[in-house]
Amino acid sequence: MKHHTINNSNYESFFLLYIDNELTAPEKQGVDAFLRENPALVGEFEQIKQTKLQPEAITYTQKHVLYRQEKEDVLPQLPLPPQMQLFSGNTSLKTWYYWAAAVSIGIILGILHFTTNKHTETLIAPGMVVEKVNIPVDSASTIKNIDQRVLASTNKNISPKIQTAQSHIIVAPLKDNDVVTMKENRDTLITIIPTMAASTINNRENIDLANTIHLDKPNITSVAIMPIVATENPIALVEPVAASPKKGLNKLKAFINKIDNQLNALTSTEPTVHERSIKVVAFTIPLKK
Amino acid sequence: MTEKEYNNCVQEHADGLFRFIIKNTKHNDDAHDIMQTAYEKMWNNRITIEASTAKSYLFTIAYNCLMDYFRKAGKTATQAISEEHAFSYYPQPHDVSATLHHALLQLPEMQRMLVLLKDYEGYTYHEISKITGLTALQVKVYLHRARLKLKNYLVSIDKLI
Repeated sequence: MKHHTINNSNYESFFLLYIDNELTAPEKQGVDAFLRENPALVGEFEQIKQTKLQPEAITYTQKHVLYRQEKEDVLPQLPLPPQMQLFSGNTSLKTWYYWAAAVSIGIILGILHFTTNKHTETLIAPGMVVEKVNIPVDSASTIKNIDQRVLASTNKNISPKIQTAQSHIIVAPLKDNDVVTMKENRDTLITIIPTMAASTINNRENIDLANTIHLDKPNITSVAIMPIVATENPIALVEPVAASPKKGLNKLKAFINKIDNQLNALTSTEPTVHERSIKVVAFTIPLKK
Repeated sequence: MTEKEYNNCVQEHADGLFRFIIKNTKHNDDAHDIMQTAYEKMWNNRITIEASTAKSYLFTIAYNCLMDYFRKAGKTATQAISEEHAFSYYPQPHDVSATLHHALLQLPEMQRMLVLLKDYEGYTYHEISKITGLTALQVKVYLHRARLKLKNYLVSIDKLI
């Protein structure tokens, strides 16, 4: 960076360059000569000179965390705990992070697999009663639509079976949404079921709820998910194909408790302010033998 | 850069780099973070870094980290030094060095970093321009402005005393 000769109009810039050590030796001599010729500016030169910081000794005390070794890629000063020294001594912490991440992902995928698997195994014992449902099914039907049509169309057909389906527990969702929440893809669509008004139940005095529906302590081992198989006569055969995960079982238990309360309310002689109606949905549940 | 050269770099430059950072952040933990970031990057890129340029590389990383730090902290605007300001707000240190360091804190971050690179590390305008990405002329202008602010601050404090 070249500079002009120092004079009265640019001396400040030269003073600054002088302090910053950006002048050549001849230029510095020029400034010295200029100051000798203009002693009144020496004070200003000294003021600018005072703005130069004197180096301050500061020690960084954490150097040990910065030192590295080629073979120990990361944090070589940090010894691995004994339980992490399963592999070679050169296994870095970064490698462990990768392993931990891979194992975590594996566990998550495993959990997702078991919680979403729709085709695990048939848990319905041979010889158990299979519910037949009068369900017209077409390929364009959505799950929700099927459910609604099931609810609308199977009232007559299912109701008589309530007494004889000894291996089934008849439960009822409180809302239509309870049916929809059981949705799977269409092949494994589940369920079933008649819509029964409270009056229907009340009129069927021959239905012994206490014997047919064991809701107090249902000995449930698993919940079977049924596909709806379309047939030419508009009868759909419900067959067991899969089991729900434990999560579904817990939900069902809670659900059954709700139904138990609802049935108790319906069969109670005490007056109630709630409308006495119930939609009954049949879940096929294998019982422990 | 070899492993040995890297570790020599820690030994030789960590103090200076930390001084540069802590003088700007005034926060120990943040300074440690930036230190580790700078050396981590140098270690990861050691294959492409020459030992002779390692110090400049470290200060470049630190400078960029500090610019991000100030940007995130919203500390880009530093109050201008004025005689009234100095009189009303700032304690008056007893010696020139302490006063100067006090004045340094009042400079805008950019100017403060340039002063520190110049006075502590002895970099030339050209070298500072490479570290900061500014032109040498910009470095000169900013540094001269900073010096004049510091000078005026010292003069104003001297008058008050």
